[in-house]
Amino acid sequence: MLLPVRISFTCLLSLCLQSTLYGWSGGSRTIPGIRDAVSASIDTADVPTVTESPAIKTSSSIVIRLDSTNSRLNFLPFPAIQQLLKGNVAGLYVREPSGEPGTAIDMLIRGSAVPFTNPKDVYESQPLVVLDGIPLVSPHPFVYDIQKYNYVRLGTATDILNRIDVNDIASVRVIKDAADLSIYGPRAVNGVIEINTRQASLKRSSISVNSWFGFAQKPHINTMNAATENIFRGRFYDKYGSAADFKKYPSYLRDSTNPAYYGPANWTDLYYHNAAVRGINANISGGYPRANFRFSIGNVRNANPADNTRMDRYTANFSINMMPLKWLTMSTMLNGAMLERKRNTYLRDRFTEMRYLPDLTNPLPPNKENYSTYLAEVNKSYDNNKANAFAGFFRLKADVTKTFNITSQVSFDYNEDMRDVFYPGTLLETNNFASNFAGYGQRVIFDNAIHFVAPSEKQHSLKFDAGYSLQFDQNKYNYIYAYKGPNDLIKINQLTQNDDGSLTPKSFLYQLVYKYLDKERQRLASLYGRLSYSFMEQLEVSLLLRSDASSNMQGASRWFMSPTAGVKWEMKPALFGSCPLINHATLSAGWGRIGRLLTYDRFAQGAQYTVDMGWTNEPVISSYGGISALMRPYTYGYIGNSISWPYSDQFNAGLDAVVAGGKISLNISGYSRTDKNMLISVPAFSDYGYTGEFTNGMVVRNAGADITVTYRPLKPGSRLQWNSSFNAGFNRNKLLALPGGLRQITIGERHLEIGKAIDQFWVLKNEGIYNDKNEVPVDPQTNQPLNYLGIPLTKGDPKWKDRNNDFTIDDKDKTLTGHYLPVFTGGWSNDFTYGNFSIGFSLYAVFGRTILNKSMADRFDFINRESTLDMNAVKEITSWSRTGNYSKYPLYNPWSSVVPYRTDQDLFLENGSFVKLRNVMLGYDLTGTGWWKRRKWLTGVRKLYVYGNVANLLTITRYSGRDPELINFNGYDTGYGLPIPRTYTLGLKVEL
Amino acid sequence: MKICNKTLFAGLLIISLQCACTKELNIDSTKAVGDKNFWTSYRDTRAALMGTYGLLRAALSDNGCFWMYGELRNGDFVSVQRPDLDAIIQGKLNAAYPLFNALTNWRRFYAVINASNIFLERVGDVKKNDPKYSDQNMRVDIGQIRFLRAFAYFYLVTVWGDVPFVRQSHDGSFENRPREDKEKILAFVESEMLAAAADLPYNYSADDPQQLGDYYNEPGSRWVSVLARKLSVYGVLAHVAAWRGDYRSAVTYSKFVLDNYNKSGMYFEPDTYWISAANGMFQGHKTNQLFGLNFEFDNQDATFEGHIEDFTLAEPFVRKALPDIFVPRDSILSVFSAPSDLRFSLDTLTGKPNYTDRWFSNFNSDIPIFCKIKVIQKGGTDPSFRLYSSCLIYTRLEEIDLLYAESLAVTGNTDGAIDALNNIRRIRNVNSFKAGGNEDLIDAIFQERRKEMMGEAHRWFDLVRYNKIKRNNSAFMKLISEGGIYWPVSADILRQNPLIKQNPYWK
Repeated sequence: MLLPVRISFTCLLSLCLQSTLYGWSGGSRTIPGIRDAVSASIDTADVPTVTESPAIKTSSSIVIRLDSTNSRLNFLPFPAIQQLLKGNVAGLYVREPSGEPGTAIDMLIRGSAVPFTNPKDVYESQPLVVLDGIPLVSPHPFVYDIQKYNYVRLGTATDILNRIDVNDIASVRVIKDAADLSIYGPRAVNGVIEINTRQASLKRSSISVNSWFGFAQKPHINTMNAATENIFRGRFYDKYGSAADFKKYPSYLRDSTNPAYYGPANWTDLYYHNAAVRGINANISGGYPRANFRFSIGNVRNANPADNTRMDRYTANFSINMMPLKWLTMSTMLNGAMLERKRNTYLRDRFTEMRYLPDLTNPLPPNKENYSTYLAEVNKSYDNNKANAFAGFFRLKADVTKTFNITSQVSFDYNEDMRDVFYPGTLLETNNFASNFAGYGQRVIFDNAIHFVAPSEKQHSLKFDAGYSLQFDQNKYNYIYAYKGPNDLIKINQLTQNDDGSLTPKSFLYQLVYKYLDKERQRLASLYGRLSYSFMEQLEVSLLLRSDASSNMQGASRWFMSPTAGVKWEMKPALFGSCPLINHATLSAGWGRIGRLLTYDRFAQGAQYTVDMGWTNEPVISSYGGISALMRPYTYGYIGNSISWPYSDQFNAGLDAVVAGGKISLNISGYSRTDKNMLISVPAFSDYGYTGEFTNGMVVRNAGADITVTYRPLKPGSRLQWNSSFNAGFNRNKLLALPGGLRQITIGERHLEIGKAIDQFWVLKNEGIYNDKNEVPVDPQTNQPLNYLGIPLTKGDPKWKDRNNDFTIDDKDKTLTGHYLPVFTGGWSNDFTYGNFSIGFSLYAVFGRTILNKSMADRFDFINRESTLDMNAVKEITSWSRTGNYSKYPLYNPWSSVVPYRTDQDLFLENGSFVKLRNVMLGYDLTGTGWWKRRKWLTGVRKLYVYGNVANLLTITRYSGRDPELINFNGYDTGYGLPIPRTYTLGLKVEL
Repeated sequence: MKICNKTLFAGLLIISLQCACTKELNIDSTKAVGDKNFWTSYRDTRAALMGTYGLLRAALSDNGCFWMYGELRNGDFVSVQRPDLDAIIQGKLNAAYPLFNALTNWRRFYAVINASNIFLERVGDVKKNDPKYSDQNMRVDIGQIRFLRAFAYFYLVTVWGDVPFVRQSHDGSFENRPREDKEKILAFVESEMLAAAADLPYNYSADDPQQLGDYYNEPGSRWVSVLARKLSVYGVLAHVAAWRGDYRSAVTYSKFVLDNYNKSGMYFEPDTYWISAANGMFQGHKTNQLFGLNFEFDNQDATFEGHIEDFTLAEPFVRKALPDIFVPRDSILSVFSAPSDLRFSLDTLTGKPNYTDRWFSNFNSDIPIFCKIKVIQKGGTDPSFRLYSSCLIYTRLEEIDLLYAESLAVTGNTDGAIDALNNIRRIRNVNSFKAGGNEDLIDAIFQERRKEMMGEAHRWFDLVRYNKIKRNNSAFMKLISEGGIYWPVSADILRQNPLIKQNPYWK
């Protein structure tokens, strides 16, 4: 079955090989993964020339340079790469749902092709991050499979992209166009973020130290106590409450003499503290023309003023390049990081870990005295979260001839994730809890490639690369948790090994010790050939053909072949040769196809048996009568034998121009990316026991434009400099097809309809309240009042629009509205220098995004929410704060069985657009002063730069809730997520 | 030609590389067994058999639906503050709470049916491949699978009436099915169960002639009431026949159980305390659990959700301030009116409950606790951890005895019915029923069922049968004739399958 694919590929490759005969020559970029450190540093011709600007932007990819001396990005107190990029790259949307240090931050490049119905879907849409040519392992969502609640990922839930110290980064390149992406193969289907570390400079040895410290400021919170809550609820009880309802009034609100609830609401004194932050990085580099090295170590503490959360990071980076023989270059890079996180103490997150809810009748009290007794018990628990990451490569490059070289590389990435938890019994009705999670992800890559540059003739140049790579991925975890240890002193669930290899717990009851392990493997084999031709350095054409095989694909459709083509035309010589206003103008266009990998190895099995016999909130039942059982994946969805590769086709066109003598540079690009043959579980075949069937065939198009404008009005070299850079990304998506010719499907609360966007809310239109039974319209035919799913509406119920006039409010009356992904994201940064002073600021903006204010819906729906002992009934200490505008919402009957404050109506939808002043920085270069220059003995110090920073200064938004950035994956503001703090820092950078 | 050679060489190199890695690219998942590796050994039939039981357990445990369907509607329980449960109790089955989305979806039962269909289609492969898999083992396996499939259909029909009727797995080429007449399905259920009953032993690994030797190499103690036995099937058959109104057959089937129960080691529990004791009838797996699904604590099968305790227990039994549902004091007093009932009665002198830990506790508070079933953790008294392991009992001997009485009464054998009724009354220390008194026999039998089986998810189905016999409650008769006794069908299913129409009553 494989044969036809192989043969056709071989033929095509042969064509490529043969085409060398016709004298193609030239080249564009080197192949990633083969980035040659020595040549990069020896041969400076490769270094982009626009060095004053920290960002080099083209329409297809954006390079942010951090090695230029005064780039403001070098001095920001942000530990994660996502935070660094946020607002600086057109077309990159960064969602930071919590200010808690080290927690997950997602990125989307040019929108998402995957509708988000589950937190797992977010993993499918993340770009590939490449560190010095090593495609890093991304976290695998498989731990969600054993989770009862999916609010946070099991384990440390640390975002491993916190691993890279900004001081080690030379540049970050965000790649968006297919022509540039395809070299990375199917992993690049959501875009690529290429991080290149700093290399040794050959000019001289150097030592540099960058250190900063500061604090994250305690926010101002309007607190409230039970009296406020009592007044809030009183209105509902007065209007709709029956005597029976009054009888059920929550006990903690009843006793107004109870100081725990009715005393001063000063819990914030214990919850928020100004938190110290700091960072230090020292690095040394040196060497000779034939060998050089760079070594760097760093430490960062990032902290949030809320809930004593923080992250400590220790990083080390080492790289060495050698030329033992004139024709042989050896390079090695090692990058390691250790991340330790002190996590939040949300009840929800604790119960998620424990999979158990205590009685929730009495919430945490808002009064400091009472809250502190709880905190004292919390402090007896421990929650160690440690994540380590380690990546590196060893690369050989052999220059066989001047025009032909071979590279061979082994690279690896390994990250581990370890969490140890103990909660004392005092926190949970005498049940203590211990859990241990140890997981890792690893990737080993073997890369071999040849590069051939045809002997350059005057007008033509041609370059050919071909390569073969094998990638071995493995993700694994062991997880064990246990309830009810003998006492709170034994905090470790020790196991002893029996003769037969099984494990018996020493002190915990074996029936209450639960063990899980899971493993996901994926192997990816790739072959590619690329041909680049350029004519007079004005016209560049490149063609790439690759074939990839993934072990997660079924045998019959394992290989996937994808072509990419790109063309670039420098118009200046031909069109504007004499026009002084236009310095440079390039048109480019490209088309490419990239396969999309499947995340789970189960898909390769085809029709299969697995463990799938759980039920609501009991996802991991694996045996009956103590005997393990297997069945078809009924709740997961049927997996058949005809699953094929999903893929993405992208067309893009762009214009890069520099005008007015370099004062203005402009990059505009338009794209249309169509993801085809996408695999989703289509809800179907419940008559056969399945929730759905995994079927290929969904087609989603993302189209949009990215614009970057840089404006430098002042003459280079003058005392005052101003550099202004504006970027904007506009993106819209549309569902073009569903599997099996379906027009629409509904997955949970999400509704997908052909012709509509995939990121919309599916809601009823709310038009007010029926203040009287007589206001409810009556069906003239049946004489029955308007009903909601058969329940007649009455006084105190919402006025929902009956769109199809059938006198029944149901799903047919729902409309798709709003977008949980932004239509527009952008940023504007300005940097001024005057002599030795520099000052700069950045704005970040998101428009055209809708937020569903779930925390407000929860507040009003207190009757339903508190009636059941489940996760919805959990009240955090932070719920004793007042945010939002209560007067916007009608006073419905909260006891009504139509659930008036339901979230599937537009009542709680709000405009989530905002503009943020993310950062203001002031710096002073001491080495530039005359005073410094006069001190001869100070000449050893090449640079001494002092700076101050304020991060996250101001938010402008019409959203009535909290910070509009703190939004869930599906556009919900749940009230969770720590505030993104305002952070003040002072720093010093010394270079010797 | 040099170039041609080079091309050829490159081509060959690529082919050889691809061959090498094609092998590397075959990985068997650790969490799924592909079809090609399944149905090869008796281990696979065992896993699939247990899986089918597990699926049935899941189907009945999801959101506690066994009790949602069987106990709450028009029953004795009242919701404390959960509006969704209150809606079920009031019979407002089209309410808009999230719970109803799950309860109206019948998919879980079709998982049992599909797993059974696959088993029946593929079990022959194991027989072919594994010499250790004996004919008898296969016959007993098939018997259980046919029973489980029939049971799933029976339950579907009692909850939804007409439902799709699928007898093949149609693996990979599924097609939507319309609803099939319930009577046709019930006829199929009865014939399947009869066939299954013929092949099943009275006990497993107990040298029953129909199942010799250790079943799947496990001792008899392991299988007690874990698997469906011959009498389990007859017990359920009696229910099928009674539901169909075929009380003659119901007599036959229930009599078979009552005639043979000692062959399965069963007995009428003489001590009422043991019905409700934490380590009593509902704990673990016990022979008197005529047909039930286990949640054995020692096997780590205990769960937080899916048990009636999750709804009924509260302080002082577990750390939960209020239960979700309870039986109000007035109802308790009117139902348990006999002065010396061993299940619940008040001391005639002091007016206090005679037993505070049997059917009810906290009787003197506003919200008495229904504590008949209370297997917390392994069945002790530790209130701190709401992990339950009670067996989901569909039927037990006492229940079959009362069903027998009902069947005899309907078929005109009054004396036999009275005997059967008094058998239970005697054990529970209630005055015997006397013919010719002012008590109505049918009323008395159903009242006894109401008391004995309270909280065991029979109440609603009893009410349906009672009203079908009595035909004197016009509102209920309207429910029956208009299909209101059935649940509405989930919007999820209606969306997926255009051949399915909503139950007209709930339109």
